[in-house]
Amino acid sequence: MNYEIDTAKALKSFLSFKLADKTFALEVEKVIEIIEVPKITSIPKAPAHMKGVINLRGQVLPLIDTCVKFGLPAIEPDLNTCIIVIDLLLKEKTIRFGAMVSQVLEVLEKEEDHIHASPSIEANYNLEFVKGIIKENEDFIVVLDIDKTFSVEEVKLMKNANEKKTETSKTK
Amino acid sequence: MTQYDQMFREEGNEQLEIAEQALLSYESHADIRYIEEAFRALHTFKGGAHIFALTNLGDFAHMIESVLDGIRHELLTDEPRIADKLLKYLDHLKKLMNDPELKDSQIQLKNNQLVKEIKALSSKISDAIKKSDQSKETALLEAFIEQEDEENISTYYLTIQPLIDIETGSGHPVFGILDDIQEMGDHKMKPAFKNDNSIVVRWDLYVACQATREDLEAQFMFIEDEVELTVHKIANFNLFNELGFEELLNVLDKTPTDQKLTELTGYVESLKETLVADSADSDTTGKGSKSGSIRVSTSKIDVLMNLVSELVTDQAGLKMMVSSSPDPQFEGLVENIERHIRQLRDIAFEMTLVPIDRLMGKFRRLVRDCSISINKEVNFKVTGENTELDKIYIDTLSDPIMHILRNCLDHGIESPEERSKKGKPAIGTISLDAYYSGAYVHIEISDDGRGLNIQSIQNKALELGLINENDKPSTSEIYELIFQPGFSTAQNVTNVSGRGVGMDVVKKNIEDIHGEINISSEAGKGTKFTIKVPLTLSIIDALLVKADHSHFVLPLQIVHKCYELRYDSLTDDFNKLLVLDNKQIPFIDLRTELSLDKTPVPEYCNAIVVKCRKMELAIITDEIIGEYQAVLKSVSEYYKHQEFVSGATILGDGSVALVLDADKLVEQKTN
Repeated sequence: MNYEIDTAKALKSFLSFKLADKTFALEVEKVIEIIEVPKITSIPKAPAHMKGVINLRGQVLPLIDTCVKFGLPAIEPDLNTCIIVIDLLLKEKTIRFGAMVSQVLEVLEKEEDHIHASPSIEANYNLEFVKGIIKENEDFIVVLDIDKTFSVEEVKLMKNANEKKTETSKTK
Repeated sequence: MTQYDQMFREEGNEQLEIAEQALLSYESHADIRYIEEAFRALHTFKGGAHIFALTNLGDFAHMIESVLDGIRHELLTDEPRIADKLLKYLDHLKKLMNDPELKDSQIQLKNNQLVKEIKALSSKISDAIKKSDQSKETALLEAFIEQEDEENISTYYLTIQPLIDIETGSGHPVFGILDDIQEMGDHKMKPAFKNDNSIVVRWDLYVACQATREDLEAQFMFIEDEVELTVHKIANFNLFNELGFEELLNVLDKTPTDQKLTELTGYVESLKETLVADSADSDTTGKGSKSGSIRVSTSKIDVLMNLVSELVTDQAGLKMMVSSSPDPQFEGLVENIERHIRQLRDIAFEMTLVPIDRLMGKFRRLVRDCSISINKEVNFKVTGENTELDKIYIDTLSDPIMHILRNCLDHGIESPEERSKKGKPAIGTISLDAYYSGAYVHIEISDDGRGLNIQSIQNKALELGLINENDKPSTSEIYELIFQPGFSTAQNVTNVSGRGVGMDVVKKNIEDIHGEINISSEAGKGTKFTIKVPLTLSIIDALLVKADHSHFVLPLQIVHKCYELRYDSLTDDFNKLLVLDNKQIPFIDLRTELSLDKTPVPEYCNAIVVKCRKMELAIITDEIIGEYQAVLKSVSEYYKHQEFVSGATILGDGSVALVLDADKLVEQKTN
């Protein structure tokens, strides 16, 4: 995958966070706010990564367990657990949702040249969701493509996959 | 100026619609009242147009008005298809609204032509007027049409004389009754006391209201032994709007009782005279144009609704606080607030409701125009036009219903020849019926045409590859096929319908507002479309229940009865039926249905019998917490597939509870 990065010489900010013990980042302009984990109301029969809904100052906000989304074990909320509130533009409609992450780290400012296209070798994660890689102190941080990761279509796909899984497990 | 322009446009269109509606009614029912209605609407329109110096509009309206006037006085009885012509003029007027300056040469041409036509008509009328010399009477009539408020307000003069001693502040029921009457409308009350002390000798009460004399007398029914009441109707309009009435009342205070009535009637008589005099230059608007409503932008109402929703949520929090630390004073206050918020909610909600009648004008016109253009005669029957729906729904439903009507006309109803061959009346019938049913409004559109042809739908579906040859779809599945995109079985494409775009959009539009559409049809007898839309969309009265560790909300409208039973009585029941009140009722246990198993099952549980899809169903919950005003919020598209959740609401403690859709629960279970 050869992803072209905008060549404008400007600083770009990224929010880094942890899923289990791995570090990821997302573009900071997508983030509305970061909140602590309130009481979660789970929705029965929803796909596993759809954690439920929460009350964000009178607004009902869907909540996604980002770990489950990436195939990691579900987050057991502790002191470090945070919810990143994100606005997603989908077909002229803005959907606001919360992405639960294990820990929020910091805001990184990087020049455009420090953002590399995702290397095609590293196939641990579904590369479709990777926007690029940034380097921070010799560590590489994967920048997620939020629009793709959390699109409603993606949720649907996950659901179908889950259903298939349960179906096959049933037949077994 | 643009703001006023917008206002005129809105109101103008409304008036034109009223006029159009009236003319359509006149066409089917030659009743002079409809003409008068159209006349009034156009008169208002004309006034508005002149205020904004839209002379072309105003003049044209004036010309139509004079034709209407002619019809009203039966001077134009020999004119064929007069309603048709008038409708054409109205259409032109609508076009002029967008181009009042006649910039488009086409429109200008049309305008000149129509003006000529109308002038010919009105000259006929003026000739007739000269002959019949009715002009004086006309003026009188006109004056009273203007004056008679559409709300039928009359002014009454009441005297109440106690037969026993009643003191002010004694809490006698008469005071409550007097207050009630005064709330009916504009009023003035004057009590008279027995020399200086607080014992009342007589009340003089003037009130302008919609009530009849009998209504007013009925108010005093329970104390008729204690007071003597006389009610005089002094005018069939609101005197409080008239010049000098207040002053007259002040004078009346000093006049002896027996002369008051003569004074009043004298005053009313004098009013009538000035009215007739006024009407000589009746073109000036103003008189009687006061109406009981104001225009508010929908966005303001939306904000209001949101604020009310927030209040309802806050109040729930308050209620929870008071239940954790009981304090009688605080409790009373919270109860008061709850009551007021409920009233506020109801009123705010009512404001967003509009009767479905609002759409009917458009529909009548469509059916009429279509039937003429395709040479079919159709009788369009509407029932339940006062059924009220949220304004947003009304707007969304307009297009789908139009489309269905077009389909009924074009595909459903046969040509007159075909109909008489089949032994049906040559004139087809399309009926539209709107009614409430539980938490929903149903709109049924049915025709008595040829019905859906199952075979041709199936063939077409095969051709389009929607079904396989080996499929054996049920009848209802076949009907569902017509909601597929690109589906049309009509052999010929007409300009009315049959392009295959539409039915899928119809279904989508209706589902967007959480509605449903169903078809039933009988070959040769007709087709019926049933549209079902929820009544409310923002705040509902609901029942708050608990299952396992989760709270759920059920709309109160569907709840029929609640029972308490032992939980183990469910488990030894193998056919999933509960016997309640000697009836067998299928049940759904929320715990098993929604895989909730965090806490051990309770010993006792509650069965809530709900009515959905014409069947009864018991929903088993651990606990019923109580009645709850739920502010509905959407659970976002991420949960689109969890259909049994129709929304969510925020509870007093800030947690979120899910609103269950019983219909979908059943559906999910049966599938």
